[in-house]
Amino acid sequence: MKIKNKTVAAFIGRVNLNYATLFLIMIIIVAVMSSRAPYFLSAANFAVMVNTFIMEAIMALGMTLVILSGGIDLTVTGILPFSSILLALLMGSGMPFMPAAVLVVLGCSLIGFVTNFLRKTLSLHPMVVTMAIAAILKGVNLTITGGSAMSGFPDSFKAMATMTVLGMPLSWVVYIVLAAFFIIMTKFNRNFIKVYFVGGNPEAAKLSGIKTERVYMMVYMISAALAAIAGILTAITYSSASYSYGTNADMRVITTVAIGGTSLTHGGKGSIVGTMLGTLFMAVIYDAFIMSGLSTYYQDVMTGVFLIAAVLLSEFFRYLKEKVQ
Amino acid sequence: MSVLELKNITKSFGANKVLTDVNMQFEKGEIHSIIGENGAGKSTLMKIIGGIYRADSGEVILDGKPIVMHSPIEAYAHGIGIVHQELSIVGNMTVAQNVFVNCEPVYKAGFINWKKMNSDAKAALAEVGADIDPTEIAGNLSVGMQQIVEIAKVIAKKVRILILDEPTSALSDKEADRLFEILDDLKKKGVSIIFISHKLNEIIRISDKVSVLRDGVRTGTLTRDEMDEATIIRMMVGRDLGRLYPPRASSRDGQVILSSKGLSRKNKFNNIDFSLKKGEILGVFGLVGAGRTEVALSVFGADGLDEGTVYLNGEEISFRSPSDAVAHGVCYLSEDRKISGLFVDMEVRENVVSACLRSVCSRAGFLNQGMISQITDDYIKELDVHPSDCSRFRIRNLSGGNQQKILFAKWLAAKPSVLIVDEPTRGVDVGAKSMIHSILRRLAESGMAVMMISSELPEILGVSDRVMVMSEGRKTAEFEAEGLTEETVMNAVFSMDGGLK
Amino acid sequence: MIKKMCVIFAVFLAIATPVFAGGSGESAASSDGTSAVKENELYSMVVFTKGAEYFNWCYAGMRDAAAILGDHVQTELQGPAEWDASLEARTLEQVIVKQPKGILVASADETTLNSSIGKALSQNIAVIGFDSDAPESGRLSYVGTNNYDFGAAAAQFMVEQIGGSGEVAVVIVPGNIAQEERAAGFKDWISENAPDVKVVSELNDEGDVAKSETVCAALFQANPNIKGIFSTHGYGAPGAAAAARTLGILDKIVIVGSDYSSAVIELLLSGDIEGSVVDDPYLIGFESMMLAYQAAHPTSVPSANPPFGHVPPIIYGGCSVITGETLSDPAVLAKYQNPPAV
Repeated sequence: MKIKNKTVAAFIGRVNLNYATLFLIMIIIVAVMSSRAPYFLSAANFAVMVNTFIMEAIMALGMTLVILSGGIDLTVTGILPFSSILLALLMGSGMPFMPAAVLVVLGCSLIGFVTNFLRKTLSLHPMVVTMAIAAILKGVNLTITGGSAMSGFPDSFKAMATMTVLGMPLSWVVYIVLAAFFIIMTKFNRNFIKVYFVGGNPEAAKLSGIKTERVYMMVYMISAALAAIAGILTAITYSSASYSYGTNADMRVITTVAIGGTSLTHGGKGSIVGTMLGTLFMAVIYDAFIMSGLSTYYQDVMTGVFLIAAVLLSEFFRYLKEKVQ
Repeated sequence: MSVLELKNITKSFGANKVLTDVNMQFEKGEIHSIIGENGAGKSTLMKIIGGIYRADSGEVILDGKPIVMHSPIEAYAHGIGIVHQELSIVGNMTVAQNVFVNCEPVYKAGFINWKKMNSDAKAALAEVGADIDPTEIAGNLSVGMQQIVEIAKVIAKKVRILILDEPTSALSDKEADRLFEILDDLKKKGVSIIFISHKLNEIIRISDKVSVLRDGVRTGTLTRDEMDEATIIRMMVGRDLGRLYPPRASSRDGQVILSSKGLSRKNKFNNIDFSLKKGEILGVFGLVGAGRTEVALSVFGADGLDEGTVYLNGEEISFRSPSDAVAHGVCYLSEDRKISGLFVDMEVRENVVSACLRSVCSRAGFLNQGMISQITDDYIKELDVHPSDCSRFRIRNLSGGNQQKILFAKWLAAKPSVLIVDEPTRGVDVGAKSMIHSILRRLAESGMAVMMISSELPEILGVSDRVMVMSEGRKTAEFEAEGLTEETVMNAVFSMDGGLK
Repeated sequence: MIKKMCVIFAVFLAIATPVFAGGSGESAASSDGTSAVKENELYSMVVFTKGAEYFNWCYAGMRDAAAILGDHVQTELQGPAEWDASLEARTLEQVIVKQPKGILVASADETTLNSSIGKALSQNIAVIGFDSDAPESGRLSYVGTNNYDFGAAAAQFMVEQIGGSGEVAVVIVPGNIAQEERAAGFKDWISENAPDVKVVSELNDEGDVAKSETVCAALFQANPNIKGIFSTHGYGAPGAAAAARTLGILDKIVIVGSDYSSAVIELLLSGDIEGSVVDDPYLIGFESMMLAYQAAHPTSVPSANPPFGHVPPIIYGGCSVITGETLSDPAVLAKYQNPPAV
């Protein structure tokens, strides 16, 4: 091979194909949309686009850990509304925001603990256990609220909906802090590195002296806590709490994680950064098609088509990469 | 005329040339072995014959006519069948279903004719001399039996050329003997057998011819009366290996580190006593299923114990979990590196520190990346892992022998005082094998106590200082290795009168 | 591999073409140039459970109204497929970015959309609530159904059917405001206008057909004097009919349902259900569009909501009872059996 080709080959070798594909598709969408929909490139749309997917983004961080450990967590769809309702109840009884929020997050982590405990003691697939817990939570949420939205938060709480930190809404700040935390931890912290070992080869992890059950407990509790945080932020944003929040959020979150390159079939493959990119991709797609003016049902078709295209393209690039090398 | 002839076969994967101008002839009713180190191109060559790969250039000539195959199904149509290295038995189906997978006898309407399937399976199994109930669930059979089912599966397709890729790597000696009888029988029926193996003694024992591959080139073909170990090894590695095994322990009076008394676990093993001394290698020999691995796992805390006591440095101890054992300096290097040893999708460096995460972390739990790189590079150098810059490679991309070395590195990094190794050289080529043997010896000399579980008798005799023999869950004998003969050990294995009740 | 990928991408491009080539917003009618002088205006309908037949009817009404108003009036239907108020609020926020002239919104619950609706109004986008109201949101107008009257219409029909006297029961999911109002309207009309009719029981079927069958069967057996049953939602009547059929008392029981679905239509045609009270989603969508246009184009008449045009705070679309007889008209039947495509 010629030297020129060698440099190209070396470059291709270093690029993460999955990320490259997502970027490519996003660039295409942004280019096409910005020429077609005048509002697409506006600051207002950017803010809306981020807001559209911020709750899923937060939950995707925890879901990444769960999927990396070789599991799955469907409880988030029940925990998100539950946490908003619990917050409304606590604050309705006169508790100030901070202690109420802390209590909600702790309470929901406890649900994560119970989920994992049932998974372990009944030795059931996490899909089954978490789906059951989600169903229970849905029933609890409906029972508490009687099917209608809860409002009547104090004014100081309502003010948080429009509060900004460094010019950003509260939810963005929370996400940035959490994402940074998990990027650093999964890269450098022993307890988080163990998630990869346990997901990659549970048997080997056990024989390597890793307490695998502790790792599982940690990831399910984190996932539940993040869903609780998303629930609190939802309650802040809409000054309401409702059983209807977070319906099907589990599927959107899992799709986000998968698009970001975390393997659903083999634990231990993937990263938080990939999930963040997947989040951006999903946010762009969800926003672009609403902006596009396509008929509403065609939007759903397109969302599916682009998800498949993302996967196919990265497969194709992988093939090209092997060919070049 | 040869039944099958390979002419100038060349094959590359990307820039990697795996086979170069390989020529071979296979005759009717003959066992023709192919031997070579890992990566010499044996498996690729077999896959070309079996229709899985196509050669870049060269011809496969069957009965004098060149053939081109696009899939294993076409190969079967030509009467060529492969028994692969990895068993392709579906564990939860019956033996008969496995034998006739994808070619089930059916009634006209397309429903499976179970009666015919079971009787045909019975016949196919009888043809390879096995008396296995075709309605048995295949997963319940021993690995050896499964291998025989696998062969029956291929034979049932009326093959003329049977290729076996490392068929004995999972078999005990007794099961292997059984397999060789079957092969001999098939040979007499006129089947041409192509036999691939690492094990020199097997090859010499059964082959009519042996061809040696080195780095994708055929270095020679020997006939029955030309074969001997030294010649074959020279042709394989291109040099003399010198002494096959490392020297024995320089000193035998180290103190006992790990010992046990009366270890028992229901249906697994019974009343096992052993002691491991500092600086010494204890070989544990037995056939597959003798309970050796089970004892090790129980001592290690991965499985429970029903009875008995384990002593560490003279004090009674009971490891509650593997992490407990590792924390006390007892490590277990597992039999199957892919299933329970390594994280194949992770980087080499991550694997190396996976059992000593605590020691490469700050107090707050953050990893010291520089230290990890340092440790990894040190072990890569010390264990001579190839390529030498593989620190960031994924395990999946290393060869079997190098994977095995990383597995050692992982446990060495944990700085254990006791190392239990289970089948350390399974599936490893001759060069890497002697490397691993000398590593084990070096570890012992550095003050570690080593327990080596192995089914290869020459390895046990060559490497160990003491040998413990197990059979059917019991300890049957213990010997000093110096001057010990294979006969003595085998007698100890079979002297058992009763098994585990 | 290359060949395979080429085929896949050809298919992909074919599906994706509309994104790159399609129009932005559905034009109400083909433009023939006559109304090209007017600047295009976008009106968005935002719903929850996108895909529900009810909302498709609403959107059909909106589209037809837009066509009457002119080619420059364009419409779109948006909203999550899930019944999730927070998702609907997000969709609403995205729609606001497109700066439509007006938004028609059916709220998944009473409070969650408040801040988003407020945001739209502050950007001079006219917001009309329809079907499900958000009363405190500041929406300019609400077009929907008066559920109290809805219940009264059911009561009137019921009393006629049972001959002016006897015991009746109501099926309801407690906690649902619309259903509570229907039940109240039903009971009040009877106590005021039919002294010989008594509402003896209220049944909770949790909005489920199977559960409805169970509770109705229990009631029929416990109280053989029951002459009629009214369900405040769409699933109660089929359940009650199934229970009556099992017990062999279909002829003796008058069943009045709410809303329509293919199951209800079948039972009306077979006579197992005597009638069903329906509101008019087409009209609700149509009127909402008209109001949004009105609000977006203020006249000289002083408005209650400046800078928007003058609109009434509430319009009720009315309701009617459909029976097997109503459906014997093929045109009417066709309407109910062929919901509009969106």
